[in-house]
Amino acid sequence: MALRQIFRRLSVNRIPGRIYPSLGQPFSSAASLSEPIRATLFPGDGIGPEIAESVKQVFGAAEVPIEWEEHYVSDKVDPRTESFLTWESLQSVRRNGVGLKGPMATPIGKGHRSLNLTLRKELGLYANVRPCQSLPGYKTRYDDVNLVTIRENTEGEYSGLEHQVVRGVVESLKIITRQASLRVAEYAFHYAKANGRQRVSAIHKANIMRKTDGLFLKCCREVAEKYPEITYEEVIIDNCCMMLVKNPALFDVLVMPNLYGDIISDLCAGLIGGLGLTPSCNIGEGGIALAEAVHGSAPDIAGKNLANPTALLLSSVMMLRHLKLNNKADRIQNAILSTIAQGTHRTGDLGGSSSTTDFTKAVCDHL
Amino acid sequence: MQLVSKPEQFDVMVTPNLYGNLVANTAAGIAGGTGVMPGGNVGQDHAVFEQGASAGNVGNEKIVEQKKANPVALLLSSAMMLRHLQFPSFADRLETAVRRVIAEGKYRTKDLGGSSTTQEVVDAVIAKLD
Repeated sequence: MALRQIFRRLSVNRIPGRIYPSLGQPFSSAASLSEPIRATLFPGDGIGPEIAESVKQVFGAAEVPIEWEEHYVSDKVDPRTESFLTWESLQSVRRNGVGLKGPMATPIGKGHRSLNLTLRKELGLYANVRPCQSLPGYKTRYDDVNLVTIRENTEGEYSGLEHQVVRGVVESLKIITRQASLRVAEYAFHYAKANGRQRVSAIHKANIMRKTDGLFLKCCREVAEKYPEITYEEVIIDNCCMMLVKNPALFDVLVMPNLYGDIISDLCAGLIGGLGLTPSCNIGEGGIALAEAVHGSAPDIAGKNLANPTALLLSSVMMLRHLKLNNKADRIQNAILSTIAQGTHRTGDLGGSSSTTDFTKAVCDHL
Repeated sequence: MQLVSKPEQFDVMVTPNLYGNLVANTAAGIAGGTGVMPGGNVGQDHAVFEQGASAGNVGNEKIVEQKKANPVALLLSSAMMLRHLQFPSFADRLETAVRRVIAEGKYRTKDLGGSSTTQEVVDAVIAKLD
């Protein structure tokens, strides 16, 4: 019974044609665009609208040629998507090819899918990319973190196939497919090459899970052969955890299956100061990119002009890089980093007392 | 993430197999590495004690040849074994001696930033036993 379910899932996920990314996409010719690029914006809940406003202001000050299409989560379940995200919102992202998402609080209840799950499945978001860089001026125990975690986001341990064998014994199926592993490995190497990274490390536990992680590694090795200029290595997950907390400078790009990716990407966020500062971008089939802030909606400080927009701003920078607007991306990123490094305008979570608007204005001034 | 940013909020952590492996290695990395973390495996009828974190420091030929392996992890694990056998006073004496040697900082193996050999560290621990 479970086998049939697996096969059905696999055939739904099959995407014919090319494996990958924005290389052939229309938005690769950056500089001279006569008309603005349309991007979908989901401000989200809680502090979402405030930090989305920050992004709009900074983009305006930097004269970024982006036209936002805002979409909100509705309060009724849309039967076409089985969730609070409407079909129109999803179509908007599919059409525009890029989006930026603020924090969304999933309403509790039955009869609908979680918002993140909806986005992931409907847009085929298969890789979650999180660059983790130490912020100069914001001290944590680790000063020299400069790595990127790339997590396979569709299968693995999170395939959702759990069943009870007998009372007190439950089984969970971990699915690793050649297709998904190749896909994420291709993206990882493409990202490394496009961003000037030297090394890609595949994180695994193939000594214990020989067939599943073994297949993942096999796929990574195949892709590695096509990029001889990039160093490829394989690191066992527990060794990786230890090395990350002892000497994170050892890592460059990490590519991993779903569960390890979940854990390691949050661990790396912890190394640089938490989810409030970490950008993230989800890559989908056909070169779709949905950048998002991975922190929560912080309802306790919503509407009080206290939120830190850094995560969403850095995520929007990732979105710009995906669109090959590297000049603008660099300018905005440098402005953010200098503002934080300067130390005079920091929001509460970084130990300062600036408001969201003050911080945003400081970033605009630094442009 | 919490472990990495604020490890002091945790006391005892109980986990399933995979997560435990990851958490133990992360915690060991934060606290000083495989060379210093003790550990034990407890079963229905028996208990086996070995160093706590599995990563690295294992099967490294170079360390064995140069006699630079850190004995602290296994010494502390044996102290855990003594406690398990209900010899708390012996366990305390051993642990105190080891702690003093590390605190003093004169005899440290390479992984702790020093240059002593295994034997030198062991001799120092014996010297500090009371």
